[in-house]
Amino acid sequence: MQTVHTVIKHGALFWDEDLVPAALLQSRLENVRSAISAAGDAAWIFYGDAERCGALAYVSHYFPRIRDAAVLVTLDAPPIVLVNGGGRTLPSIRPMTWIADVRMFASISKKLAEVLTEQGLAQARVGTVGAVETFPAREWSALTRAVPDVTFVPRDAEFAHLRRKKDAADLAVAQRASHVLEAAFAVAATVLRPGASTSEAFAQIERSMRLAGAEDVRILTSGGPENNELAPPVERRLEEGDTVMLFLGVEIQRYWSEAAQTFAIGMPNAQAENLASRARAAVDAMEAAAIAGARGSTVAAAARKALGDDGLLTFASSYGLGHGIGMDVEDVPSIALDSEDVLNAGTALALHIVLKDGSACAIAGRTIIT
Amino acid sequence: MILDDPVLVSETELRGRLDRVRAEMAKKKIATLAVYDSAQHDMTSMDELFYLTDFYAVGPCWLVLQLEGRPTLFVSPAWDAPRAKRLVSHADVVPADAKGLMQAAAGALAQASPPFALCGGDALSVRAAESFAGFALPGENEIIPRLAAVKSPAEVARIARAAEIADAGFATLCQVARVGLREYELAAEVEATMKSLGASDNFGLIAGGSHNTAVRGATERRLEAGDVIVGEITPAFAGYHAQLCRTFVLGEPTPKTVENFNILIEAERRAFAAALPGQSSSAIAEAANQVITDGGYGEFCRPPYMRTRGHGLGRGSVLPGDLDPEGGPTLEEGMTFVIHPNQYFPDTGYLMLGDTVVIERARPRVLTKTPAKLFWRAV
Repeated sequence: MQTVHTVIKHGALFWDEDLVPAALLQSRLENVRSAISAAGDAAWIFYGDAERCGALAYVSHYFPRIRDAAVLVTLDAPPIVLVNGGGRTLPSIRPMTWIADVRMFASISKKLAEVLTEQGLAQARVGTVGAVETFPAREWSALTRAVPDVTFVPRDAEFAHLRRKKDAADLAVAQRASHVLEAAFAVAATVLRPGASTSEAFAQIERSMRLAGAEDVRILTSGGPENNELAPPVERRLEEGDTVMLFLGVEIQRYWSEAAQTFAIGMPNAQAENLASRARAAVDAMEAAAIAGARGSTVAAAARKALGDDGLLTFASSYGLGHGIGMDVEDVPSIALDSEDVLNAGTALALHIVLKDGSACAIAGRTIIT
Repeated sequence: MILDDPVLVSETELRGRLDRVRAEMAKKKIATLAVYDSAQHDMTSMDELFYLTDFYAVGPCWLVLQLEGRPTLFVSPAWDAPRAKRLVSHADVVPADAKGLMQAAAGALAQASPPFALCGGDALSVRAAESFAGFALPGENEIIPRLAAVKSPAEVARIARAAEIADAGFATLCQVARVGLREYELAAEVEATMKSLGASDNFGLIAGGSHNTAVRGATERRLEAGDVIVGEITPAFAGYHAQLCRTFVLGEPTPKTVENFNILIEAERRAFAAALPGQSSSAIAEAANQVITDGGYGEFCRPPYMRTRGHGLGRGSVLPGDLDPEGGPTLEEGMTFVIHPNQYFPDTGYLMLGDTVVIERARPRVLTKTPAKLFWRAV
């Protein structure tokens, strides 16, 4: 799900140790160290920002609400969390991570160079995870100039392989997030009604997720009878006969889940109802096809078969048919007709279908575990 | 629900902004300006692409602006292009997927006239820079913030609406805060009020404790009797933020808390008095610091006991930037920012007071209307 990125993570900031125990986080660290060793590296840097920080959160359970952060993991020294910000915010950061050594920075390149040197890594081979996609290029140039003898090697593929083994916390948190979404759709069913202000309705939907401990909430919706594509919410009064596509994402304890439903305002019209039914059927077909060993293209093909209309499929594909989801809101594997990605057992998949036919529109979607 | 129509920035105003930017480009001998927006929105940064288009991006976007002709807006994800086309009539909108965006922008530059300049290049990631041949172009990050420093009436109206929403958010905080409520539940209620009034976003920090060292994000902690709740409430309306900083005590405040808060009230009053056109923005910080120093807390007028005495608020220009005593830009009529003498006191902890203002000739106009006082409720 891609929608407007907020200026700050809005929700609850804490570490639920019952859901994500320290022992499990320690075992993740050991998994990472094994991967570092297998790659022949001396250390890995995990980098992320407020929008994309899954790798960082996996190893540290920390996530930046704004700006960026990094974690340095070596083979034997205690890991170090580096957070963009001033020292006075340090006390509020420590309770969010199990890692004791947390340091603040104003410049990621300067701080990383300093820490690499301090840890005796100024001439080492160091893997990076998340850096290529998110690290600011100018800061990266400054870093490589500051520690010219460090050999940086992207290890995103190695980390993705490691992450294929979902652990107990992954599944427990995914289930919690799914329940929060179900409750939010129940609220939606009561507040999306003729005459309602969309601002007021979406505020209530978001409130339900925030009260359940959401760290972040994302909403996409249709813009009204004349703008029946998905878009960030805008204020309008719902009218009898409107269709509202509601696409929700929620982050609980660093774990994203998403789902989508179509709501008829007042009496549903036959065309919209038919389209919504076809969207749900296509998602059902994708879920049935999403088994371990299947390719992303096979899952997408199931949607095509269920829809039986290449025009509808082309429109649905413009929003994407699905993707992996977890500590990043969009992850591998990709669900698309040309996707060669292979599904593993225990993969969290977000599946969605957006349809438009003339003035009618519909959406269906859910997060599943293969 | 605020029933007024959304505050619109007219196409005429947007075209005027483009004309002024082009005039400055010509002075600097820039024929083509490439403006990048990573869509990672930041409350304390300007969004130059938003300023020139009034389009709030979902994904990374480029605006390629030449001295003549219609600008081109490259929009990702591609499915968001219809929204861009509806909202941006003064530019050609080109949809692009995430992988193709950088090549599309680079291709447009290849067709455009040199010399080039790049705005927003600091936000380009390693991957994006690899795909964008213009990464090494000279940076130009001064023209637009400078031109936008003085807000238009429509921009001020948006900020005023955001301020009105912030007031409502704090009123909810005062109404809902109770012993046993979790901090994040309180934050959720405050934000629900503001979203229902049309807030599109909020930079929200709400924290409670008997002795706060700073404001922070809301945690799972349950509020207790005697808690001092500090709130930095920063809703956005139509992209523009306003900020309200206030303190609420769950129970009768101690005499020392009242005394220290009165120092903040006087510091803010003096800071307002220094916020005049033609003055250096540093005068605001100096005025606030002097009051706190006179109150006996001068040694705490520095980080980590405070951060700054105020700052600009995005998405428009954030000039004058942070309000620090070390010097800053000269204030001009029509600049908007928050003034907040928020301060840690060793005997009471961190207390907050701050308001959004617009600089006017005789005195700043305070857009937030919540009274400047210490709020509390008996428990």
